[in-house]
Amino acid sequence: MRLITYSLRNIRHRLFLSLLTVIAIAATVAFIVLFSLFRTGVEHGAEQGYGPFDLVIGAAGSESQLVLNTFYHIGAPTGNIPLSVLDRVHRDPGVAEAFAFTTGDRMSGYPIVGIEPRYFPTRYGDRSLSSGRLYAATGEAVLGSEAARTSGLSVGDTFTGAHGLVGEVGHEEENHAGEEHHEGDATHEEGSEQDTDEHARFHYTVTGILPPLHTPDDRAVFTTVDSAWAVHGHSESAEEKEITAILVKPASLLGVHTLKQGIGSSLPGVQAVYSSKVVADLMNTVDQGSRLVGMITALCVLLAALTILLSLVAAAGERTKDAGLLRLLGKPKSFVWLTIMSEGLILSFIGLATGLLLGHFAAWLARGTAFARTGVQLQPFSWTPEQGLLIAGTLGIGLIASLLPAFRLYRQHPLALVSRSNLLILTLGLALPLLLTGCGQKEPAAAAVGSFNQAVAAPAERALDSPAAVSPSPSGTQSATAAVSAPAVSSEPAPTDGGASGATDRSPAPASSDPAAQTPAEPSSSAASAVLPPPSASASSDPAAQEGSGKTNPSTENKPSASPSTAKEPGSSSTGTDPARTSANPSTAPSAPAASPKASKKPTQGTMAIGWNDFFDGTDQTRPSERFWDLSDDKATVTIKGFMGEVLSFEKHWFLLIPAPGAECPFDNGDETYWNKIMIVFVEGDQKLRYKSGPLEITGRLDVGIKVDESGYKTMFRIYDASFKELSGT
Amino acid sequence: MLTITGLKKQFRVQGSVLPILDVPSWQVNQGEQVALTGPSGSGKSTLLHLISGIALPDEGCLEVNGVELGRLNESERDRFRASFIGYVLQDFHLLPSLTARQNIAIALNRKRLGLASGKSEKRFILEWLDRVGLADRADHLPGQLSRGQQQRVAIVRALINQPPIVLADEPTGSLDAETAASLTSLLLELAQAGGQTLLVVTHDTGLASLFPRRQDIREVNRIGRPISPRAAADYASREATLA
Repeated sequence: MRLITYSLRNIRHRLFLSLLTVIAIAATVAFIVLFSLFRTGVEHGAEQGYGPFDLVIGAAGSESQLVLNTFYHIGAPTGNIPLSVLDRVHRDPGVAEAFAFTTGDRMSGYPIVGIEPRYFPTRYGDRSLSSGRLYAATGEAVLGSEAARTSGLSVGDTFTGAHGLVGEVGHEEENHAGEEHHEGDATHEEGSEQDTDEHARFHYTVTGILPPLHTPDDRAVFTTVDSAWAVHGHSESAEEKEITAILVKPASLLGVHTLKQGIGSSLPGVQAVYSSKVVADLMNTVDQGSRLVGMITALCVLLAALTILLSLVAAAGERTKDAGLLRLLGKPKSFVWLTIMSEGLILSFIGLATGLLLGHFAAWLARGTAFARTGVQLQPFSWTPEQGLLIAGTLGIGLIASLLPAFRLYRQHPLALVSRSNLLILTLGLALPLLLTGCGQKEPAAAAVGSFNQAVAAPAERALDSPAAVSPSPSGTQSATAAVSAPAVSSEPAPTDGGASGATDRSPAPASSDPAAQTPAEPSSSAASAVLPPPSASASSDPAAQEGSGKTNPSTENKPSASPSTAKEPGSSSTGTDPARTSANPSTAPSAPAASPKASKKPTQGTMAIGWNDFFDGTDQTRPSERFWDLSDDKATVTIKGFMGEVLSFEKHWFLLIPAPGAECPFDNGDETYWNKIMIVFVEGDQKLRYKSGPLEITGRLDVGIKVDESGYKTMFRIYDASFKELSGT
Repeated sequence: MLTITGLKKQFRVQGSVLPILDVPSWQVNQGEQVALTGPSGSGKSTLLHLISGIALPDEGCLEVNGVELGRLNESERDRFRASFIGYVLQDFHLLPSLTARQNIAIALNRKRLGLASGKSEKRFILEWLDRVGLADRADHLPGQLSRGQQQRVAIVRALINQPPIVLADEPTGSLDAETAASLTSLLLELAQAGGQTLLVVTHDTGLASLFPRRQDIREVNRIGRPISPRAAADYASREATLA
């Protein structure tokens, strides 16, 4: 008889205890799986929640309420702001894209969001709708995939909205001339009779269904901004119209910083909030909760391990004589102790498999409720790294818990058959587990389906109904802003100057060297380049005042700048020459490549500590210091201490490193003639990025030179493949 | 053939040495059927433990079919038992989680018996169960069998590998007289059919009379004074613990 058969017979023989053990393991495993999936869902949702919109502007109030309502469609808006704010934002040169956002009404519990259709390609790139096309005229709407699935609405159907943020309620369905009609909220608690009449009179027509976007937008209904006004019968002038929020995709970090400061100081009742900071705070809160749940989980794991241990101790106690008999029959010691080990492992495996199935099944069952109530999208059958650990951990614990009873049997002598003891152990072994186990889409035809870009490329007249499109474009800068939106829509990274995307530009003012080749993401630079003074001009500003000040940079007139005639062409920076030094000293430029001293320089070994005083040589803040160039060329690993800025990207895994806590330095002064001591740190993809307010030590590969990096921003100092640790004290 | 020369066994209880066996010479021929009699504590069971290799003598030589047990290490003695010894216990001791057939299968050495497959193994066991009248009880758990039936299963388990020596320690001690007589006859019959040496410890002189050879342990053991059953139990516990 094989060992496995004997072990299975033993498990079957003590079915009740075996079941209790399996249940204890399965419940623990299922709980951990569910928790892991939920946490992954929260993190995934938070990371992808705000897309490229680093800034959100809304009514003064709770910052988190504003961000949660705008991007996650959770809770009530903080209030409304005048439509005129959008005009101001559009005029700001630091803004690449800005979208008015209205919300407040609901359809079957899903928020009806008024936003310009261009929002979709800006955020999600060019993707095809599941069916139909994007809305274009007042009263047209598209449904998020989840909203469409649960409401049962399809293209051509009509529905009415309901005012207020009342909970999800049932909706009546009526057929109008063969169309399906949904009444959003028949029993809303707030709103007057008049409101009800207004909502009932206004019918939305579904023009399209969005594909699953795996963001909170899946559970929203989208329409034109003016639909909200039309529903409520507002006919006032543009000055009197209100919107809920403005989503801002900045063109540069300076732009977002300046706009945030400006909005906060000049418009009462209006606030501008960094989306990332609010999400970072939210993530930190989730982490704290996770730690608590982690402790409870550890306790459950401990109890499950004890259950296995006690069950097997009881089994070993019961089988003292069985072990003696097996030895008497000539079975080797290994057979005897392996009977208990295999029993422990089999129970652990059955519990593990049951727990994994239960956990994923529970997530599948809860996904609808979780999404509707919290906006968290559970991926019930996704695999998380924690689950790998869970499998190894469970089997490991099963193995360890089996060792003690197995050792007991290992020591069993055949003479145990004729000894009469073990009654106490047997009783104890049977009783303790009993005490402890108390814890114990159909693909649409291509021709019939529109894409985001097709929709926004539709005649502008139709989109003009939306206030964002109606908003004036008073300056040339504004036109430039509009013109540069196209690359962002295609969701491709903006190319660097001269098309050398990714190539480091060592020129002090590359943006000014060839205005025709300006990066589309930097609309302000073309205007700025016209007034750039030559690089030889001495700096009159005080760089020390820049460091850690958190203030906006001095104006262009006060700083050194580069002459377009002396600036190195960006394309040449990838030829293997050393343009940095040449560009810093135009007179030596032609001979620099051959005379480069770097050929004989010893590559940097090990990890080098760098400080905030090493960024520039002297007062010249137009280019990185020679030391940084050397370290960068050597791909040296460096360490630097600093603080995390409030702008970060969970999705792209980067954050800003600043010299003083709370500083909100932009990278440069806006025309790229004067750069600040600020580092963009790219952490490795598998490292969890969390906002830390305390001092940090960063270790990673230094890269310097002006370029549009992976963040989409133009930067001078970067650290790649970084890890960071918190420093105690300061 | 079993040959014992100068065999001595003693054990210590609470600091004092208690001799149990001192057998200058004793021999049992292959195929002999011997009833080993004597009062409680006279060393009968200890002698069986030594013959089976689950206990080791302090002195002397014990040879079974040419194998001297004192020269074997523990794992070699395990293999020796699996091949040379069949053992029947007083309280049968069937494994409670296994059926009658499985209780036999766990002892069965397929390679020794030349059984190629699981099917042939099953057939072989069923034939044996049929010989003891339990063919219809093959899939019953021990708890579903009478004591007599359990002991029959235990007898088959001891004989299934056709070992040269079968040892039985009071095999009918817990059965009624009629069942005891019937099982003793069965054991004798099966051992005789297999040409196996049978050494049975019994108190029952009536049953002992069924055996061709009866041996009072006191005739071969120079330790005439029997030890108390309690001391014998202490000895067994101590040996088990020390092991």
